[in-house]
Amino acid sequence: MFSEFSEEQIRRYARQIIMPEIGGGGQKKLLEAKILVIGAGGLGSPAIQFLAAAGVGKLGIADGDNVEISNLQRQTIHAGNLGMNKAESARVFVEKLNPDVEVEVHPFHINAENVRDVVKKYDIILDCTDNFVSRFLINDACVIEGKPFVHSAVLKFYGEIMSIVPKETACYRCVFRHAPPPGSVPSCQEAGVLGVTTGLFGTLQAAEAIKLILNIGETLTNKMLTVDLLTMEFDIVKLRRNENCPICSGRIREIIPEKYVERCQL
Amino acid sequence: MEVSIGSKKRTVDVRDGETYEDLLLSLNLNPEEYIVIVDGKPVPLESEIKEGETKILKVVSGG
Repeated sequence: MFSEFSEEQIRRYARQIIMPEIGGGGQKKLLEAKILVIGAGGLGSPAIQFLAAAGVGKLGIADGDNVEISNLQRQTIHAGNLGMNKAESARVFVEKLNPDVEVEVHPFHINAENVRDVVKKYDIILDCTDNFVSRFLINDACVIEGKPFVHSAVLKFYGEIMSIVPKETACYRCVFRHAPPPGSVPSCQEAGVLGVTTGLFGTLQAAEAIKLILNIGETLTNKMLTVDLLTMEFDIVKLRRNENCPICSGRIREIIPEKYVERCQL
Repeated sequence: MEVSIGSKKRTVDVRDGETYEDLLLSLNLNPEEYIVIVDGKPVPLESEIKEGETKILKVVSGG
């Protein structure tokens, strides 16, 4: 088993390989894994950092935005890269951290036209976006393509996270069905967000992705973890698949671009 | 009935015919910012309150 690793890899991943839950076999699986992070912002930055550090073999990073100074309070991987495309900036960080990781940059916004083509190239997807339309689009594309994914969303001191194994466990649309009316729920730009909140939830997304790749432990499938850092309340909401979910039920098998505006109702 | 908002449990009086939207309003929660999960599934806010494990979940989309 260890002959498959270089001396440097054995030293780099020593703290992981020593754990019986990972071992050499698990490390090999990580080095062969392909994970797509959609959004290299508040959630995506810590997720990318820890997935790259863990030795995920291929990281896809999708983001069409450029690094702004208001990002750096929480998106620390972009330090020194003001004005650069975030996916490109993330690649610079990953290449410095771990040369084992192959990065594929998707320097554009994921939309109804390109989502399935991008998603289908990876084993696991992380939804690290910041708006409802992208979240429903990623959910629907991942379920249609049969790709497990990890959802998270945050605001201020609060966040939520759940993992989805398509057709087996409750999907995002099973829980939320459609987006709220535009303007009814504040964004992080409007209401703010603590860097620690995005750091925590992006890191939890990376942990979920690693467990899904290694098939170890318990994942947040059929349950949503919510955390309020202001009151330190941690809670698990148990969930079930909705047999009437238009995506999970297989009633809708294609992405219909005109549906992905405002409420995202199918 | 008992309702959970995060890890906090609240006991609320429910009258016949009251809906989940009424429940949210009675708790001073904006129905556009929350969903109600009963026994693991979301319920339409306009539907009448029924027995079951009831959880109120905030809706957020930031990242």
